[in-house]
Amino acid sequence: MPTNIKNSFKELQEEESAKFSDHSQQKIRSSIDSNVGLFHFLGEIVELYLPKIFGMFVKMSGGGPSPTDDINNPNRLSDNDRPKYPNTID
Amino acid sequence: MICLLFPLLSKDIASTLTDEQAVDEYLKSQSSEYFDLLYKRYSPKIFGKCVSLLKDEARAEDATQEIFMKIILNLSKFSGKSKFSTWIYSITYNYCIDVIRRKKKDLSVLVDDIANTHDKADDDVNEKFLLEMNVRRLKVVLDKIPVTDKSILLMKYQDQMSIKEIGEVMAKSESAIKMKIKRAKQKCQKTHSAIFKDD
Repeated sequence: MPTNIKNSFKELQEEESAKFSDHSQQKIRSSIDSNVGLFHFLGEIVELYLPKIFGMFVKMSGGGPSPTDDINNPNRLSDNDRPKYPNTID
Repeated sequence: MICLLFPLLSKDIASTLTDEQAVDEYLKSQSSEYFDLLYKRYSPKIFGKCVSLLKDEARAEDATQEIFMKIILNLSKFSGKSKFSTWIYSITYNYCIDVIRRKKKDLSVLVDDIANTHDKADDDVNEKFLLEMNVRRLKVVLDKIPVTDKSILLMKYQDQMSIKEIGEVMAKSESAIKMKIKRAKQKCQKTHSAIFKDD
């Protein structure tokens, strides 16, 4: 389409875009910023606490690390004392 | 002094970036400066389209905000296959069409599309007639035709999108879009004749 011919659609676009005041532009921009900030905040919260919540559910359902894995446990078997084949009867 | 000049200098450099470069820089740095550039370039146009389609400035403001939220949250999905402007206009048109269909329960949009499939499609409307129509009349005529037809005409004559690009936005084949443009032009002409028959 040649650019030098009249285009009422373009004129209409200019007319309607001109209704967008600086005030509205600023208002919308700050709303977007605050929404994006909220999304980032929620994202950080999820990132920080989700693994802990997940761990809590694992513990509640009876899971978690084996007691023999606790290094500070005096009853912990040393690696040499552990049976080589734990599922076999000596 | 350099510290004082640097922000001005970086803003100048940023303003020379193409849309696609600004998107890349924003994704790399997450710096709001690049998003600001895109916002300033496109927010008046998007608002204008929303006003045109939703016919209400307050709703158009809300829609502009929602559309920019969609853009910022989906920016990483922009693949660069199409122009950035095409991508954001497709979000805008689809959003506005959805709003109209949802809020007004405007079944006439769909019914009209189906009902007019047997229009006499052979009558080709002169493009010049549409392009040279008085702006006030064009606005009245566009407000009377279904929103999908209006959107297609805006994409073609306002955004200068190709048939292929319009097809991607509307999820239709190129031949279907050509037919839709033809019918939309016919509806414009009929509506114009009906409203301004005295002239």
